[in-house]
Amino acid sequence: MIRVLVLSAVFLAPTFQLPAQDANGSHLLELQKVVRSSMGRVAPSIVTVETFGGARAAMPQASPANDAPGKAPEKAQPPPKEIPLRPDGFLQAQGASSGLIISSDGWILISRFALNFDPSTILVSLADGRSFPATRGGEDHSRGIALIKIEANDLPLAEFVEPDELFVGQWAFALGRTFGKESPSVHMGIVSAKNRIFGRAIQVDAYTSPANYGGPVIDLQGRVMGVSVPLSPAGRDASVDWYDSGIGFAASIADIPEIIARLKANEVLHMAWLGITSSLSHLGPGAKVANISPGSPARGIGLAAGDTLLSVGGIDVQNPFHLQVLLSSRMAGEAVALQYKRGDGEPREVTVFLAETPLADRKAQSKEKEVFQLPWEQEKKKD
Amino acid sequence: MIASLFFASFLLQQPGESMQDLLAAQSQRVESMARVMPSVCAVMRSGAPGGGSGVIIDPSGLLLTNYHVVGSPAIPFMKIGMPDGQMHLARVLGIDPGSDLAVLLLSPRPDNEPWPYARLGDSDQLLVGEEVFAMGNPFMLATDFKPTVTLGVVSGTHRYQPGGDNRSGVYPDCIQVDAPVNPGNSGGPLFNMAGEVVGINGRISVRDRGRVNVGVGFAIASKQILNFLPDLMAGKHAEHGTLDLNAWLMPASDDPSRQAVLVQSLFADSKVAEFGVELGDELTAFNGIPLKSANQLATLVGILPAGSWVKIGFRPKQADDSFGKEQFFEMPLHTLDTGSSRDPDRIAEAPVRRRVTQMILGRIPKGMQQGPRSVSMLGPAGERHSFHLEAGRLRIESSAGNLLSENGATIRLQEDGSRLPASAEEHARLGRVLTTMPWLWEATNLHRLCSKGLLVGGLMVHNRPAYRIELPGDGQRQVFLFADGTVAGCQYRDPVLKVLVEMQHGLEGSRVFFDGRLQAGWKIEVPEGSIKTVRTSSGEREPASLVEELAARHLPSVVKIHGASGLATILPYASGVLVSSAGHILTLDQVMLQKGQTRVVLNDGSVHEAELLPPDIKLGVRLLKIDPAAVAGLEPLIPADSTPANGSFVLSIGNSFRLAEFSEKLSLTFGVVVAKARSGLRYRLQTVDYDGELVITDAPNNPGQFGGALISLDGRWIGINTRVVESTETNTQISAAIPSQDLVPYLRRWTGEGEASISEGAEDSPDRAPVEHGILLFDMGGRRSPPAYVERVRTGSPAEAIGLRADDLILRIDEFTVRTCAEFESRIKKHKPGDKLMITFKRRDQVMRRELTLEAKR
Repeated sequence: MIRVLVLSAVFLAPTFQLPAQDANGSHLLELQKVVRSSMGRVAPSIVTVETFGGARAAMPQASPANDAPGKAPEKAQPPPKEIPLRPDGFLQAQGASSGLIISSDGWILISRFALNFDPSTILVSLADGRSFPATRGGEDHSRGIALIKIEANDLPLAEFVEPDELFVGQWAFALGRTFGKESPSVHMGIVSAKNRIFGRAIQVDAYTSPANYGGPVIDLQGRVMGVSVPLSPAGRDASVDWYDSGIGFAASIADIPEIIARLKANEVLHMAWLGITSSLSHLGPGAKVANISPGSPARGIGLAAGDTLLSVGGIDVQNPFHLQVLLSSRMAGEAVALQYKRGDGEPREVTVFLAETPLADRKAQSKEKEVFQLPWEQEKKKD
Repeated sequence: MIASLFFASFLLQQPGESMQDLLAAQSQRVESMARVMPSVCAVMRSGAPGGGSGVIIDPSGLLLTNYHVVGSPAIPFMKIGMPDGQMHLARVLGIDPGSDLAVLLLSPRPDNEPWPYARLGDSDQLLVGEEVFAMGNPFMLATDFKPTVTLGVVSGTHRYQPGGDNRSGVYPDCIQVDAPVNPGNSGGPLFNMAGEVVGINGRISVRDRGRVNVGVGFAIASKQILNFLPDLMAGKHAEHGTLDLNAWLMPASDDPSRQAVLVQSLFADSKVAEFGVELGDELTAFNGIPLKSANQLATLVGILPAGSWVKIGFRPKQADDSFGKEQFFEMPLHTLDTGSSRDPDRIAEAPVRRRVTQMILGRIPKGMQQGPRSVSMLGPAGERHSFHLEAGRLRIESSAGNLLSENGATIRLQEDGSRLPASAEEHARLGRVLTTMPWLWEATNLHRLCSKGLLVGGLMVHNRPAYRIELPGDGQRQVFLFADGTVAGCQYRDPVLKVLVEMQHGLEGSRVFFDGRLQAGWKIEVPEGSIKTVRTSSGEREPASLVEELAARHLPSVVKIHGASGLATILPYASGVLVSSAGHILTLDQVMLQKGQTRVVLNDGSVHEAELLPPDIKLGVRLLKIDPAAVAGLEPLIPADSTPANGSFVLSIGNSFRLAEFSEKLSLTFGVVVAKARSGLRYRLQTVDYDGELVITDAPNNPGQFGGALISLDGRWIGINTRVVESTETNTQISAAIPSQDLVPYLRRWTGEGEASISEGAEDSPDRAPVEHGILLFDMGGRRSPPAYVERVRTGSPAEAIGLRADDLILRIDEFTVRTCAEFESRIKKHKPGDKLMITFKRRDQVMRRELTLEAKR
C-alpha cells in the first residue's frame, strides 16, 4: 500500500523545485553541484608534475657525486647557460604543471611545455599523495603533448569522449593540480571550436595556462575531451603568451590511439611540411604555388612556382586555406598522393613523403611578434 | 501526509535528473549558437596579412564589420571566408570611421540563394550580468573559417571609450563584456542568447601582458549601428554629430552639494551660441533625457549622425551665480569631420543602391486596411494643410485654397461651393502631394511607388533612424521610412507655398521644415490606420536571470574610491566594499589613501569624504568610514561562512580600468572559484607575508577592480579582490581575493560589530631562533642557483638521524616545492627549533619521505 502511494507520488511530483528561484537560478545552482561531482570523478587521474634541473638551473661539469666514494655519477649535465626568465617575452616552464594518467600501468600524458628545459628529474605526485620519479617517453610537437612513465600499477583512469560527440557551445572545464593537493583547480568555459590546429585540438574559452597545462579538459559529465596545451597554427611556443586569454586548446586524445602508441615507443613527432606557399590571388579551386622552399619535399618531387595543386590524398583542394588544412593535418614522415597541373597540361600524380618544418624556420617563426601572420603568407618576406 | 509524499518523491528523484536538465539546457545553447553561426564570417584584406570578422545582417548579403578591419576605403574589395569553407568577395559599401563601422555587400551567390543572416537586436535591453556570446576569428585560428565562439556576461553598458583623436574610433556608448575577445574578433558579432546581434566587437582593454584579452572587451551597441546603417547602406562616408561644445560635471555655483553639467567651452559660431548658450550655463536635458553627467551627454550625442535634430534644455547662469529658468531649443548637430568633406559625393552606384532599396521596401508591413487616408500639417497660428485620399481622389484643404482631383484634372473649390479650374501651380501641387506623401497610400502602393526610388542616405526622425528614398523626378522628392518599413516622413517642393517642405513624423513628435528651416510650433497629424510606426517596448527591462538579479542587488554595495595621486604608477582610484550600516568601507591598503584626500562615490553618484581607520598590515586592507546617513538605503555585504568549493560560481564587482564614473555602474565579471592557494604567490613588487589562503578565481580582476567584492550565487561575500598576483609556481598573473572570513577579526575590531577580536597579535611571527638541520647543499651561489642537491650531511645532525645522504635531491619541504637551493633556504627560514618538517627527496630512482626535527643552532 505504502509502495503504491510512494510510486504515485513520483508521478505526481517528479521533480523537487527549489523554492523562490527562477528557472535560470536553479540551473546555475545545479550546475555548480554537477561540476563539482564531475571533477571528483576525474580527480584521481590528475597528477602534479614537477621538473628539476635542466637548461636553466644546470649542474657544473664536475659533478660532486663523482667525488663521493661509491656513488654512481649523475647524468652528465650540459654547461650552465644564462637563460633569463623571460626571453622575448615567453614564459619558461619551471613551475609545476599537471598530467593525466592514461594507462593503469603508469603512462601519464603531460604538456610538452613542461619539458622545455630538458629537465633531469621529473617528479609525479598522485592524488593519493604518493610520489614517483618519471622517465620520458615520446613527444608530439604538433599537439603539444608528451608521455612520461612511472612505475606503478592499478592506477585510476578517466573516461574519454571523442571529438565527434562534442559540440560548439557545450561546457568545458579545464582542470589542473598545481595549486594544492585537496581538490583539482578548475577554470570554466565552453567549446569554442573543433578541429583547430588542423584537426588536432578542441578550442575552448576556459582559461588555460601553466596552472593547468597537461590537465584534462572535461565535459559536463566528467568525460575527458583532451588535455590543455599551449598551441598555435604556426606551431610557435609564443602561444604560451595566450595564457588566460580565453583562447585555449585541449589536444584531443581519444581519436589518436596510433599516435599514443608511437609516443609509448618514444617517438618524437612533428607536423607535416611540404614546403610551398600558395598565392592568395587565386582563391580556388585548387591552390597555385607561389614559392618552393629549398630542400623541401616539394622541391624534391619537382614542384615549381605556378603549378596548381588539385588534390591531396584523393581530396580535391578547394582553395589555398583548404590546402593548408589537408597538408598540416598530417604528420611528418607520412606519404601522401598529390595531384597537380602545370600550365594547361594534363594533371599529374606524384607521391611525396612529408617532412617536418626545418628547425631554423620554426625558431624564426617563434621570434615573430605579429600573431596575424598566416603561415603561408611568406611570399612577401621571401621577395 | 502531503508533506511525506513530497518528501518521498524527493528521495526517489533520480540523481541523473538534474544532469538531464542541464544537458537539455546545454543542448539548447549549442543549438542557438549553431543557428546563427552560418552568418558569421572571416573578413580579410587582399594582399595583406591579418584580418577580422564580420556578420551578414540581411539575406541579400549586407555584411557588417569594423572600419579598422576594412582600413583605407581605397581598397574596394575584401575577401570573405564563410563557415562552410567557401571564400567570396565583398565590396566595401559605406564607411563610418567615427563609429569604427563599415558595411560591405557580398556579390550574389553563384546559386542565387539568399545569404544566411542574423538579425540585429535591441542593445538597450541589455542588463549587467546578462549572458552573451561572441563569434569571430581571433588570431586567425579559423583555418577552416569556422568561427571561434566565446561565452560571457555583460559587464557594463553605455560605456564611453575615447578614440585616438576624439573623432574616429570613439566608442561613445559601447557594451563592456567579459566574453573573451581578442585581436581578430574585430568586426564580429556579439549575440544575446536569443541569437540577435546586440553589438559588434571592436576593442579590448589590455594590460602589460601584451595584446591579449584580460576580461574587458567592448562592442559597438546595435542601437548605434542602426542609427548609421542607412548612410552606410547607401555607400556613404557617414559622419557623427557634435554640439561643438565641451561640458563638465561640477558642483553647482548656487548649491555646491549638487552636481551640474556645465558648459566648459563652446565655439563662438556654433548653433548653441546662436541660441544664447554661454560659458558656465547649466545643460539640463538632451532630447528629453535629464542630464546627470558630462559623460552621459557625450554618450547621448556620440551615437547620432551629423545633422540630426536634437532638443536641448539649459539654464543660463545669472550674474548672482544662480541659474535662470529652464529654456529649450532645437538644433541640427554639427558635423565631426573624419574626412567626408574631402569626398562629399561618395555614394554607391545606382544598381547597388537599387539592390539595398529593395531590402528596405521588403520590410514594409503588408495588409494595412483599405479606406480613406489623410495627413495634416498644423501651424501654431491656426495654419492648416490637410490632405485626404479617398477612392483614388485627393482633396487638399488649406489656407492656400481647397483643391480636389477629378478625372485627372484639378478643381479649385471656392467657399461658396462653386468650382473653378485650378492654376498650373495648384495642379502641380496636387500631383506632387499625391505621388510623394506616403501616409496616403496602402502598403502595396507604397511599395510600388518606392521601388522606382533609390536609397540616398538616412536621417534621424525624433531619435529613430530612417531611410531616405529619393523618388524619380526633380531630385527633391523623398520618402522617409523607418527600419521596419513604416512611414517616417517625406520631402517635396511645394509649387504653391514655393518652399521645400520636409515632414518628419515619429513616435515622440513631429517636425515641419520649410526650406530646411524648422517651423517652430508646427506639427503633423496622422490618423489611426495609416502606415505609421507602432510603439515597441523600450527602456530597461527587469532582471530575469539569477546573475542579473545578483548584479542588480549587490552592485550598489561596492563603491568607487578616489584618492591622492602623485606618481604615475600609483592608481588614484580603486573599489571598496560596504561592510556596515554605519558607513564602514573596506578596501586594500594603498598609498593613495591619504588623510583629507580620500573620497567615496556611491552608486547614486554622491561623493563623500572618508575618514581613514588604521590598516591591517598583514592582510593589506584598510577601513574607511563615511557618514552613515549616506548609506542608509544600501545593503552591507555579509561575509560567507567559508570559501565555497572549487567550481562554485562567483561574481566579481569593481571599477575595472575606471570605466565607471560618477553614478555609472561598476563592472561585473563572472567565473568560478579556481582553487585556494597559500604558497608561492607574490604581488607585483613585493613579497606578501600573508600566510593565509587566497581564493583564486577566473572571473577577471583588473586594475581598479582591486578592493571590490567576490560574491557567491547565494549572495554572500566571499572575498575582497587583491591586486593582480603573480604566481611563482606558474609565472603567470592570476586573479585572487582575500577570503572574507579572514577579514572578520579586523572588521569586528574596528566596526564594533560582533565580538572584538581577542588578539591582534595572533599572527605574530614565532621566535625565529636560528635552526640547525645538518644539510649542506651543493650551492653555486649567485642567481644561477641549481637544484637542492645534498653535498654532505653533518655528523650528529637531524639530517643524519633521518638517513639523508650526499647526492640526495631535496624536492619538497612539507607541501612546498623546493626547486633551488635558494628556495630551500627561504623555506627553512620560516621555521623555528623544534618544528617537524616532512622532507621529500629523490635518491637515484626512488622518491622518499622522512620527517626531520629542527634543532637550535649551537
